[in-house]
Amino acid sequence: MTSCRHDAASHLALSDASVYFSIRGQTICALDSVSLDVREGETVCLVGPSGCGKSTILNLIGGFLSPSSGSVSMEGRAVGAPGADRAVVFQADAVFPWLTVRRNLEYGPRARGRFDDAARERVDHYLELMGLRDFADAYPKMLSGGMRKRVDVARAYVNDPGVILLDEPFGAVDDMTKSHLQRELMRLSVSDGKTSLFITHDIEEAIYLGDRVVVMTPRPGRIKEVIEVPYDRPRDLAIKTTEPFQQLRRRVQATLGEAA
Amino acid sequence: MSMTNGATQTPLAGPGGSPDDTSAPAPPDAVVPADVRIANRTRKRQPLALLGLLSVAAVLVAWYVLTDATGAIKPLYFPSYSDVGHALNQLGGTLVDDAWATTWRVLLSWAIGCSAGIAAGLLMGRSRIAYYLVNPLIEALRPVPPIALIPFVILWFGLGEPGRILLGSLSCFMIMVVTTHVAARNVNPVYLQAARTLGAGENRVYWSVVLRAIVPHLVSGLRIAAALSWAVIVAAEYLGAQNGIGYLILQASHTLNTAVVLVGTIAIGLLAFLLEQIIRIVAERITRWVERGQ
Repeated sequence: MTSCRHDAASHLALSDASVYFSIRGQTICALDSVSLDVREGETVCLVGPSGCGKSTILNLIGGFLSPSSGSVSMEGRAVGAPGADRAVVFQADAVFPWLTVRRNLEYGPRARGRFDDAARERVDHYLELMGLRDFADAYPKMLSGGMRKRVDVARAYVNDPGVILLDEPFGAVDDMTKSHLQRELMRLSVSDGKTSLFITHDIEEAIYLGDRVVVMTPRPGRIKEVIEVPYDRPRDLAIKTTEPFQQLRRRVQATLGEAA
Repeated sequence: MSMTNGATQTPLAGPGGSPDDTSAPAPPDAVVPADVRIANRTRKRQPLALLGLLSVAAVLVAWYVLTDATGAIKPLYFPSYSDVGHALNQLGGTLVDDAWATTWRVLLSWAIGCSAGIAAGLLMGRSRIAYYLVNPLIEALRPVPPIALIPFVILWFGLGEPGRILLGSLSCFMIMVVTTHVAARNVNPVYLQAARTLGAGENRVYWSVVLRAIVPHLVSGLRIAAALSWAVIVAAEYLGAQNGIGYLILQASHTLNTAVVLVGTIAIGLLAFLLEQIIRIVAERITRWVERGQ
């Protein structure tokens, strides 16, 4: 139904992954045998209240955490330490303030020792695409929060990773800027078709951006329901106000409400 | 530097184009050039800088009124303008020689002490063994005023130059080792994680993130160390030096020549101010990227 979904084998897979933390002698189950397959080119949005384990899933895939049991794999291989094949856009401002916007975008290719003409072209391409061209030589301190987030997203795309993990990237920007950023991410998903995992607590954001919405519930962190979103890409922001969209939203809300 | 802060300032972000348009290129978020905020800021700062001149002028006037004009304070306790002018005349070239002697001692011990301190601080951050080995010593020695070490220094090095440089260096070392270590340890972890997910190996993470992020902290440490270095070197010159501002002040105080004492004091103040300004200008060029509070 959606133009970006392929029938390729699962690109990213969690199978029966559990994570236990020990806090002050007590063992807490942050993630309870979660299985999730993400197909190549697909955008999966994880939505749920804080403590539902959505960030834990991202940390597992990002390689910041290893599962207590179960497995996490990408293209059939177990996921290891953080690496350039899994880009992360953090909720916090992770744009390097000591580098200009352009230098931030160049960081990945330079770090991998692949800063060639092709990389230079990609940097220019994403500067243009994200409306950052006029600020290429500015330091991040001169940019607004929304603009910095664009730099962060562009930096991840320039590096051409296998998957992009976004951890509530727009959680700290105002609503107006957020809509702009969502629309830009939509445009990127059409032009690049990157496999993405998007974490949010904003239900409308999840439905607008996701091919599938994974609804999670807390204590212990579990997947409650997986909802297919029946819209083609690119999606217009206006669909958010349509009745079918709002029905989906109510359905997700109800699922979350049952658990609370 | 939180996102919320950035978003509320929003000089650049704003709605542009139709919000429903998903295919057009990004609307230009800004019509305001990026440097406008900076320009406004400096313009506002000018009148306030004049306040500093005003307070200096007030002290100078009060001095004149209390000494030359009314004679309220006896020259023995505080010299008048004319006494100071007289002393300057009398000193002539020696003042320049003494000032230069003190300055190079300060610069040398600052350079040695700070580079050693930065190196040790980085090493403590890199190696846990180095940290546990060195940290107790540093913590124990740090509260000791360098001046208190003078008897030992004289005993070991005599009254020569090496002892004075050692005292100056040691005080700078103590400041920089702690500043560097704390700064390196407190680098925002999100930058480290971001660098790793962009493909940087641990060595590159270190020099391209840690060593860049700590620069503003190092700069403030260097400024504090420079100021302390003046204090310690002048005090060290009280002991056995044959030249330098400290020596000048000590000699003059033996003969109760308060005018020369004051000249020496002012010379230290001016020299330290000059060095501070040079450091500040260089530092601002290096740390242009740092967001400054206003």
